[in-house]
Amino acid sequence: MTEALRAAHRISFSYRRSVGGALERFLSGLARAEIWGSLTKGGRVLVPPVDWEPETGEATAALVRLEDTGVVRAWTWVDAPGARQPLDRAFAYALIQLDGADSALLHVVDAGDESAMMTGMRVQAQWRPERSGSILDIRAFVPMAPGEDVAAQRLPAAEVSSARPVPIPNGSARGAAGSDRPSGLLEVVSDVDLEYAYEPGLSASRFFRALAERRIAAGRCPGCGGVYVPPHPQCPACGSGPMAEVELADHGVVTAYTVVHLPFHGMTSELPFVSARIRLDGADVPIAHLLGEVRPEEVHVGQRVEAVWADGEDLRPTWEAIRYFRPAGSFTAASTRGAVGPACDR
Amino acid sequence: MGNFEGPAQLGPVLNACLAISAGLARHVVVYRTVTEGSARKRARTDGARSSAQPTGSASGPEWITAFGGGPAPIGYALLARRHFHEYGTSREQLAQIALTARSNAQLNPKAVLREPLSLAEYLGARMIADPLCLYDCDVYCDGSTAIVLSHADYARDAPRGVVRVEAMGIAPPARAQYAQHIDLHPGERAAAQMWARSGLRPGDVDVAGLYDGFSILTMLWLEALGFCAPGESGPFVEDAKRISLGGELPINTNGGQLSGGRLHGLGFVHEMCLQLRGEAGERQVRNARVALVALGALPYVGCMLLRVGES
Repeated sequence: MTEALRAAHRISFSYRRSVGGALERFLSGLARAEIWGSLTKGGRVLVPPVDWEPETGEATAALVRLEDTGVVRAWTWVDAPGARQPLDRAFAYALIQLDGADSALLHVVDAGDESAMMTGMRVQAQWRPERSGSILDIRAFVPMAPGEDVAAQRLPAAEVSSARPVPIPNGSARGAAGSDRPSGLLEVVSDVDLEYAYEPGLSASRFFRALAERRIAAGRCPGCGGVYVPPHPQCPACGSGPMAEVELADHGVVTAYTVVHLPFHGMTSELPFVSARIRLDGADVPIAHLLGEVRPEEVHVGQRVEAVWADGEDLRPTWEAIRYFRPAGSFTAASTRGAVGPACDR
Repeated sequence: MGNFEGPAQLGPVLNACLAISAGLARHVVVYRTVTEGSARKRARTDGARSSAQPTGSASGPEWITAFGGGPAPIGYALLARRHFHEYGTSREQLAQIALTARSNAQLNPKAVLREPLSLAEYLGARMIADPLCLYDCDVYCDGSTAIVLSHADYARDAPRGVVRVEAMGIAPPARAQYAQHIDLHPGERAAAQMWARSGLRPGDVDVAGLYDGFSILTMLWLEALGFCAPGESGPFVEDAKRISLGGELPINTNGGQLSGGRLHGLGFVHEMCLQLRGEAGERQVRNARVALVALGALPYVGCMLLRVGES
């Protein structure tokens, strides 16, 4: 049995989205090494901030700035970090309740060793020198030695969680930020890098390999006799299979076409170009392809066309082994009315 | 939202109906919000190229993308070309879908395109993928719509007029996307399923919202739903009075997506509810009792009959 083809692909792009409201202020605060939360009408402080209270759906009352110190409420140790995780050495994911907040923030604690982790331990944010308005502007939270715990010294332990920073009404955080961006248009950019392999399967692989030899290896359904290009493992119409290979000539008839006048993202053809459905002689379904060596106004349904094959290194096991189809004047036109699907189609 | 297997943009409405009938929920909100209008404007300001997504087309994308078969206008242009070839349909006939939508949009303060549009302007418009010109393609917008579906028991407590879901049809085309065939009647099976679940008939429909992401799709729905015979949508719409307000079958009374703006089908559900509640203002169809919504395009479709409910 021949092996299936396999093609490596890689997609890389920057996904950009805009954020607004409380989230924008939170992110722009991080860029200034500040942590902001929102104060609900019920008096709770939530961080990261939200525009609407989760329980009631009411607008939150104000934004408040919080200390960058807090208490670990829950944690889990990551012994062997993966490439996409924020630290390159063992660390803990932790829910950290910042001083003055009523909800916990998920972040990482860089404690060196699991034995240094404890629920209830006090931690402080360690800021990166270069910041961009990202949650990763905090490199990690680190354990605080009792002596450096200013907040704990300043406030009795029992009052830490109820201490309220001075509220700043919604809207003035921007002034404090000195940002000149219009509201709601802070842009967050996420770089996407995706590698994947495309495997067309055995039946399509045979089809592609034949193309590299300038052959069109279609499939005939053993049940209804329908001839498909490209072939399928089972007949799309009646379900029978496997299909038997049947070789078709590289000419046929135009069953539909459109002259494309608008550029589409990623298209390489010059405008206008002709996109067509072509039913190869002996096939029951059309293929999609381009027409070339023809003036768009001369294209018509029923037109006889023939394949123009790629040469040399371009003649590879891909659909593009056929560059395009061009008018084939030497063939007689056949009627195409109704001939767009196999007999068992409908 | 729609996918390649489901009942197109009626998917969430169907899910809501099933959840309510199964007792999982009593009230369900289905909504659609788009900011495509401002997003595209911003993309242009940034100098970025506005890009069409390679969305659903007549067959598996791997066999067509390389040849300009990916972007939606190309796939639907091929359908239109085939319809023209098989049935002798003309651009003048197809134009009536766009012109009717524009006339209706002039009565809808929320429509995006409200300037009058003439046949001459339509015929002179630039081609996108021929025979589909600029006015055969729907228009993006910023917009939002929400539909509340509730258990029938709630009808008597409802503060406004009640609309009843009479029947839905969700059967996909026989060969959704397996081969590169051209299916000029993608909605036929869904329509047959819908009619089989109701005593109503096409002649009972007072107003319809027929998907017009591209004008040709509205034509295909007219045929699939049995308002005219297969292939006869051209002559059916030729005298646009028939599909206009005051006509035998007013369609896309909000201006459709061609002139009203693209809410991915759910705008039609909203409009048909307004019509049945008598809240459609200047574009109200008189005494509308039965409305039909048909959404989607090859290879995914769904349709739904609505009627004025007893409260």
